Amino acid sequence: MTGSSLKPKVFSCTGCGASLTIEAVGYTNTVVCKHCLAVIDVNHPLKKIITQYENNHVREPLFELGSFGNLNGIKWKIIGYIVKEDVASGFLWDEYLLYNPYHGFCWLLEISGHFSIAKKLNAVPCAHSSSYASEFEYNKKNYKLFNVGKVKTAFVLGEFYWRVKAGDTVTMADYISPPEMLSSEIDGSEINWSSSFYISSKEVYSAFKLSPKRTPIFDIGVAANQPNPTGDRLSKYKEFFAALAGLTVVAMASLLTMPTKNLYTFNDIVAESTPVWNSSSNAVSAGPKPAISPSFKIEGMGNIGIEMSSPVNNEWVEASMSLVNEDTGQTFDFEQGVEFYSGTDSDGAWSEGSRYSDKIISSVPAGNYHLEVELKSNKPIPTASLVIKRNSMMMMNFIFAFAALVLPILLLAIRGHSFEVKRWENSDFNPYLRNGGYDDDDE
Amino acid sequence: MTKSFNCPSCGAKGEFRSPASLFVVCQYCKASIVRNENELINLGQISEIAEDNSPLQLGATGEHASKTFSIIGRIRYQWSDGFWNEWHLFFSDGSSAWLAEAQGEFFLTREYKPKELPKAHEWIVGAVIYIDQANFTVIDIKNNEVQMSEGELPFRAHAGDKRKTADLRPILGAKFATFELDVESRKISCYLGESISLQNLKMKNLRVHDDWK
Repeated sequence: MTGSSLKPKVFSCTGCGASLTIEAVGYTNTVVCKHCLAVIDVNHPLKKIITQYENNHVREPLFELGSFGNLNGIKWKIIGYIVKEDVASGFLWDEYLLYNPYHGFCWLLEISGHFSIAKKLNAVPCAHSSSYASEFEYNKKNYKLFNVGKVKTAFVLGEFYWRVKAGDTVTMADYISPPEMLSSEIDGSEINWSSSFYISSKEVYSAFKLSPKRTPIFDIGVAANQPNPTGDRLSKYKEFFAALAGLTVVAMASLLTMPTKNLYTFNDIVAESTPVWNSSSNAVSAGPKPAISPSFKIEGMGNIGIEMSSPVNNEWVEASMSLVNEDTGQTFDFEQGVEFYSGTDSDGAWSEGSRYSDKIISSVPAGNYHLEVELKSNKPIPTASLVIKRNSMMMMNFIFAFAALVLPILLLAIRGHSFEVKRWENSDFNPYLRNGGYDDDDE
Repeated sequence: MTKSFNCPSCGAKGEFRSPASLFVVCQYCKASIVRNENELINLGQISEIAEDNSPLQLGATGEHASKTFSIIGRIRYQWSDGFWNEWHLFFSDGSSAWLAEAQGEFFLTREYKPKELPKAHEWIVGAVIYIDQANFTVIDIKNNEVQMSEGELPFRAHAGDKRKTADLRPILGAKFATFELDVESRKISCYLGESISLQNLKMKNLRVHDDWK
């Protein structure tokens, strides 16, 4: 059996006689003439005009009524346009009624340049009692109360399957779990729920043709149900960060398990020759002959740590050292010093510097080594002690590595947080204000 | 199990596909016929036609809970703010169900027979009623009239017949319930079901729209 095909119905406007069409024949009961703005009851045998002059032309729709667009693989036709107004603030936003004979209706919402697709929800996700719940769980998601307020229909155009006219007022409550939002609309004893989903403006502008009378709207601020992009990025990089952090921990653990080994302790080195007084530099230099340690063996791969100490007081000692590989002749030259000053002034006793210092020489290969030390000082006969160690821990390296890993996460988290702060600025239930020390009653 | 008959009005041959059908509209002369025992009573012709763009039609088929069905009848109701359709589904296992179509949405319901049903004067918006292990709230009450009917139906639905319905939703959840009072016979029926899409029902032989081919 094949019946007749589906066709729009054409009729003449009761107000101005213009030719009007009804796409959703049988569902539609109200048509608003685009020419004279009369609101017509199309189920009435005489197509009675309900109102005409209260419908103020607030603005042109972004997308023309009657145009088609594909969203998520479904072809929709724009058949209705409503401008809604938040009664308390006078803020306006737009709603487009979309129709497909096989999928029914849905709405395209445009709020400050942000878009959402809304559908009627055939379920009661949360029962309203005397007051609104601050949050609830529905389909394993947590929804938070975002706004409650009176919403007025400011302007209507096109066809609708319910009785609609400018001036109609309902109480709405929005609950968010971005990118989703659940909204309840209370009209007398009737409660209707809808669910909306944030979609990118790029998707909308590529789906529907812009009206020649309008230009695209730049999105302002953060929409109630706009997904937090940082959250996405954080979760996208989570595995990468986890892997890096894991590697660092493994590297650290393997270095920690490498024992620190004392190779040689050079006690009380005394400059061998008689000190020479240099009048121009006002310093005493130790003899030209360096102190030489006996041969010691360095095994494996790693660093060498040198701890130096000297009993200085208002003096300095500097050691010029050469770590000489006896097998290859490779030399590591470096300097290390200690200085310590103390005294008393009007503020009391003071001290500066330390009698102790340490130094790390990276990547010293295995082999037989000895250390040559020359001391310089402002002390007539400088002395120093040196402890030479294999695999001295370089804690700083790990601190840097961790900082490098944690910093981007931290920055993302801060950005994510400021996104949430911006989102909730538009809410009457802003959690960042409740505990933030701000108060509506502030002077 | 089809049972054929001759229309008491025009004599054309017709058939009952479902043994549960007690009402049929002759597809030729549009006479409403009530099946009473072995007698066919002619209620007269229906002049009303359904002027709508419903994608459904008699003969459309689909599938639900692994059983196939075909649409064998429809009642179109009228109320103060518009119309809605009740499509009579005849399943391969011989059972009947309804596909309610309102405001572009579809609800698949089956008759549910609880021990007791609240009387029509107890239907008040906001009242909580316990049905099939759940509490339902009355969300809407309407007075309706049969605008037209077609095909075969399990009860009388002649143009002008009056009904009173109460729509109910669970306190939480996605189910749907309706109480229906036949104003003439004072009989109350209860239907339980949930919202469903035509895509989920794998509907075939739907009406075609040139813009959505």
